[in-house]
Amino acid sequence: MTARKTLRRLAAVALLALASAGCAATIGQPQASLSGIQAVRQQDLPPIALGTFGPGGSVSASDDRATTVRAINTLAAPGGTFSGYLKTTIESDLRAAGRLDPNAPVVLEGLLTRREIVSSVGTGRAALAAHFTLRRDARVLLEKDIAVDATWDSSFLGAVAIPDAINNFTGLFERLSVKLLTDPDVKSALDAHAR
Amino acid sequence: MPTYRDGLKLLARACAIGLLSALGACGTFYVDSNLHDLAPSERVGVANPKPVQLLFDFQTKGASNSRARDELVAPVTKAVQDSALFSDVGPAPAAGGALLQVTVNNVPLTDDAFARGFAVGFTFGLVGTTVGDGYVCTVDYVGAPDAAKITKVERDAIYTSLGATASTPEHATKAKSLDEAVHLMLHKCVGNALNDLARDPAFSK
Repeated sequence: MTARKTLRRLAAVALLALASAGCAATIGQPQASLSGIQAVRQQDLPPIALGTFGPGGSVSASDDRATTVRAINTLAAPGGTFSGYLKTTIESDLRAAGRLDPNAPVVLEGLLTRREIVSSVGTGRAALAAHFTLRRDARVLLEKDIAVDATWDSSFLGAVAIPDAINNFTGLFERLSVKLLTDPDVKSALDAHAR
Repeated sequence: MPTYRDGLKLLARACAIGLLSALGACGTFYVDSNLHDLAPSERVGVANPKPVQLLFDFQTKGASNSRARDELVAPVTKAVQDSALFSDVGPAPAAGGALLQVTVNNVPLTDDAFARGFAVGFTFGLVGTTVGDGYVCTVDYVGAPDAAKITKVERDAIYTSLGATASTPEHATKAKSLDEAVHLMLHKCVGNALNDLARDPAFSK
């Protein structure tokens, strides 16, 4: 058998593996990290309540519900929306750091303005951005756009590339949360509010 | 420039991984035996165990794998409880502010495994129809909000043989299932890393 024929057979096996893996993927629950908790401790943030999170900017309501990876694999947002998953991630970080209080006067709101997964052969990339608003009652303490992204080696095979893409994409939610909670402007706005 | 032979090797490895992902429990599983599961008598004891907030992350090639994390948080919690280093282990903030992060990173085992710290007695890469998965287990501990972080790392491996002609890994223990292999690997890795942590003079301060 020639190398070319063998390659074709292996490619067929790989496609079978991908087909067997199914066409719908899910994401697990958010989990706080030690670095995130330590960062929140160092910021000495006050208790924070979470308000409304939803899609914004170029992210439509349907974009907020699901995305596709390698065209045929659907990644549904856990809990219904990716903006809701971002809220749950921030909630998890604040709770783990002992800074979540639904009755706190300071309320954080967010609009998911970008969510992107590209898992082409060679290099994969994902990006996430949100517009955050920090309020106390009707007064806006801070409005800020925060973004994170990732790149990785993306396999020829969907059975390898698709989980890699999903893992890298979902990891961005925790990174965005930590980046927000450790942002010096957030600290400054809250300190100014405390004075 | 990659040759057909290079392409074949990559594709064969990827096929094996893809098939394992797709078929789940097929194959024969072995856990590397260079790192052993600690007996109670080998565990370092502590005089006054404190409660700790446990955080766990499972990664695939350095990226968080949230589905695997949800599946494996229970055995990791048990491994931490079995260490008897802490009076209480849970996800909520602990009295005193102690934090323990356990991170298990699943990495492909390649020919440079030795250089990357895997003390294993097996020829890596695709040998016949046997593939190896490396696991780097890192424990980070912060005893109090103002305490310095202590980090300990252990490494382990799981081998999967497909088909009757597959080679049998040396220095490895056969497991009944993938589930048993993963649970054993976690118990060994986390237990040994925590024992290293308990030996560190800074741990009891």
